[in-house]
Amino acid sequence: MTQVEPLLQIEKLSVQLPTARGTVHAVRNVSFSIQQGEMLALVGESGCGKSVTAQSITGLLPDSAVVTAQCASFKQKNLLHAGYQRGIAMIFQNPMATFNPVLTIGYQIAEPLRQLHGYNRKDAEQEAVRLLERMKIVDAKNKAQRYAHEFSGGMLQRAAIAMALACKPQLLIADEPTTALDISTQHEVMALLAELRAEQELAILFITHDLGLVSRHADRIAVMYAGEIIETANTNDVLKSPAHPYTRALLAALPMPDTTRLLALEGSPPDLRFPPAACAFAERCAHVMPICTQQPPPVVDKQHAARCWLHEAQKA
Amino acid sequence: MTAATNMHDEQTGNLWRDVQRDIAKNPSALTGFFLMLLLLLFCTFGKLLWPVDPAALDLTQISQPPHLGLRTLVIYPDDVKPMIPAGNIHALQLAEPAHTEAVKLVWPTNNTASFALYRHTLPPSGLQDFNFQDLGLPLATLHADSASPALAYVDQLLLENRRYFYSVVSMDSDGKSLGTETLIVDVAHATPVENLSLHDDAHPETVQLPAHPFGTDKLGRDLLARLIEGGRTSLFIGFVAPLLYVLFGSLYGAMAGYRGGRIDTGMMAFADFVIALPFLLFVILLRIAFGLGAGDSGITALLFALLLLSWPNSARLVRAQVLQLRSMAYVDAARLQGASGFYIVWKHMLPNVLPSILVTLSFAIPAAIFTEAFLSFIGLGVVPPASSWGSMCNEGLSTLLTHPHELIFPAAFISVTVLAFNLFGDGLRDALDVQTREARQ
Repeated sequence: MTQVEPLLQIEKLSVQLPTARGTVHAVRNVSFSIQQGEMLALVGESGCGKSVTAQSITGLLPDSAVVTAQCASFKQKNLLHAGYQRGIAMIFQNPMATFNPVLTIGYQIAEPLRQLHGYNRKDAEQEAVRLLERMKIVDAKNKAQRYAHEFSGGMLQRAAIAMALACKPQLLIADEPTTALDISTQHEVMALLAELRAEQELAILFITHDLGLVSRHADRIAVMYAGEIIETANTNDVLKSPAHPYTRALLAALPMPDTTRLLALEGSPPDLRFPPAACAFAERCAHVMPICTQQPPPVVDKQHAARCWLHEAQKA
Repeated sequence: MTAATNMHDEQTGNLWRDVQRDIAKNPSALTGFFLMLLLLLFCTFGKLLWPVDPAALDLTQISQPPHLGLRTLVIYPDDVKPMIPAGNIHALQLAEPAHTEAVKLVWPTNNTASFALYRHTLPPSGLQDFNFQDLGLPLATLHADSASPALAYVDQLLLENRRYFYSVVSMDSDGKSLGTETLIVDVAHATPVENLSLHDDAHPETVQLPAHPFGTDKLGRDLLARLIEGGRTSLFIGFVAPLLYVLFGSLYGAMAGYRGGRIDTGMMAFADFVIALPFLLFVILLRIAFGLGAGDSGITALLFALLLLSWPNSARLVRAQVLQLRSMAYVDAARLQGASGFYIVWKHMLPNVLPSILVTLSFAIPAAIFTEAFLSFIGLGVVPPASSWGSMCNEGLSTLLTHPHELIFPAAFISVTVLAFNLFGDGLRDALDVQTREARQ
C-alpha cells in the first residue's frame, strides 16, 4: 500500500441521534481511512452503526443528528459542515427505492450528468445508455426508457451503480447493495464493482454484514460492533488470524462446506442509548477478564488494529 | 427523449405526454374531458350566443315548457264580452274560439235542473256506466234558470296550449245523472295585448313569442339564460374554491411533511383543529360578518367558508405522502447528486404526490358544486337575482309536479358536471399511476 495521503480520512467520528426515548450513541470514536482505488469493507451486524457512519460521510443524516470528529476529510477537504461534497456516490440497500417510480431509469441516470457535469440533455441520455451497457444491461437503449417497476432487482441494482457512476465519483459508498438480492445476482454485482474498481481507480467503502461476500474482493476489513470499530486489518489477516473475539465469533458463524453446525453468538448487543464505558463486547465475550468491564480496551497494533484487552495481556 | 420514441412508442419517458396519450385512449376519460370543455364553453360564451337577461321577469310567460318560439293569439281587453246565450242551442259547443286565456262553453238547458261540468286531458272511456272521475277535473255545478234556454261557462283555470275534453253531465233535481255529453276543444296559445312588447302591427290578431329552448321558470325568466348565469356561479365556486384550498392544503402539508419534527406536529394539530370546526355554523357566521347588502350575491361568504374550512384534508394527504417520500433512497440519491431542496421537491416529490392532489381535486370540484347547491337550497348560498344551479333546483322544486322541466334542467346540469369531472378525474388518476399502467396495456 502506498503511503500517500488517503482519499478519505476519518478520525474519532462520533454520531449521536436524539430520539423520543433518549439519545442513541450510534457511532463512537470511529477511525478509518481509504486510499484511492482501495476497497474497505465495513462489516458488522444490524444496528452496529455501519450505515450511520456512511450517512455521516455523505451528509444524509437528519438535521437533529450530532456529528463530531477530530478529522473527517475527503481529498484533504473537511467533510463536516461543508454541505454537498462532489466525488462521493452511494449505492443503497433497496434498489427499488433508489429510483423514483415516476421517472424513467435513463432520465435518473442522466440527472447527475446534467446537474453536476453540465451535459446537455441529449449527451446525458446517450451517456446514460452507455453506462447501462457498461453495467451489462441488455438492450440498454430500450431499458433506459423504462420505469423502475419494470426492472428486476439485480438489473435495478446494476442500474443504481450506473447512476452512482454518473456522478463520476472517486469514492463509492455501497450500503449493503447485495442484501436484497439473491446469491447469483450478488456475485454479478460484486464482480461488476471489482471490475469498475480496477478500471477507474475507484475507492469503495463496502458496507455489509456478510463476511464471506467481501472476503474475495475487499483489500481491508473493518469490523464494527456497538458503534465502534473493534478490528481493522488486511482481509487475509482478518480471515486467517482474527484478533478480536467478536471477529472470531463472526467467522465461526459463517457457513463452510465442512461445518455441520454453525456457532451462534449468545446474547444481544448493548443498548446504544447507554453505551458501556468499558468493552462493549465484554458481556458476550468467551474470554472476558475482570478488566474488560472496568476500562475501555486500548487499540493494539496499528497494522492489525484490535480493540481488546486480550492482546495487552499477551504482551505483558 | 426523441430518440426513444422510434424505438419504443409505448413509453415516451415524459410523464405528461404519457398521461395525455393514456387519456386519449380512455373513452370515458375523454368523454369526461369533452363534457367539461362543453360546460366551460357553455358558461363562458353562452352569454354571447344567448344574450337574454336572466333576471328579466315576464309574467305572461310563466312556466313555459321548452319551445323555439310560438305564434300566439292576441286577446284585446274588449274581447271578453258579457255572454248572453241566444238562439237555438242544441248541444254543448264553444261560444267563441278557445284560447289559453279563456274557453267559453254554452249548452241548452232543455228543462234539466242542474249540470256538472268537467274537463279532462284524456278522452272519457265509455259513456254508459261512466264514473265521474273518468270525466276529469270538476269545474263547476250549475243550476238552470227556467227563464234562459241555455247555460254558459267560462273556463279560465290554468289553460294550456293543448287538447281538452269537456264533459257536461245533466242531472235531475235529486242530483241523479241523466246523461252526459263531451266536447273536444283545441286550445290556442293566447297573450293579453297589454303585456305584449313584441306587438306586430302587420298581424294584429297573432304575435310571435320569444323562443325559450329550455322553457321559463315560475316567474317567466328564461331558463337557458339562467342556466348559463347559474353555471357561471356554480363552476366559479366549484373551480376557484377547490383550486385555492387544495393548493393551500398541499403547500401546507408539504411544508409540514418536509420540515418534520415539532413544526410538523404543531401544523397538523392546527389542521385537526380546523377540521373540528362546524361548517354550517361558519357559513352562517360569515354571512353575518360579510353582511348581505343590496346587489350582493352571497358568493363571497360561501367562498370564504369553503376556503377556511376545507383545506385540512388535502394537507393531511400531502403531508403523509411527503413524509413517506422523504425517507426514500432516491431522495438521498438526488441529494448526493447535489440536487437542491427545491429540485427534489419539484422533480422527485411533486410527480409522486401529484396523482393524489389531482384525485383530491377531482373529488373536491363536484363536492364544492354540491356544497354550493345545498347551501343555496337551504337559503344560505346565492341570493336572487343571482342564480346558481343549486338555487334553480330549489325554485324548480315547487313546480315539480306541474312543470318538471324547471327542476330537471338544472339538476341535469349538476349531474352532468359532476359526472364529467369524475370520469376525467378517474382517467387522470389511472394515467398518472405508473405502477398500473403496464397492467392496463
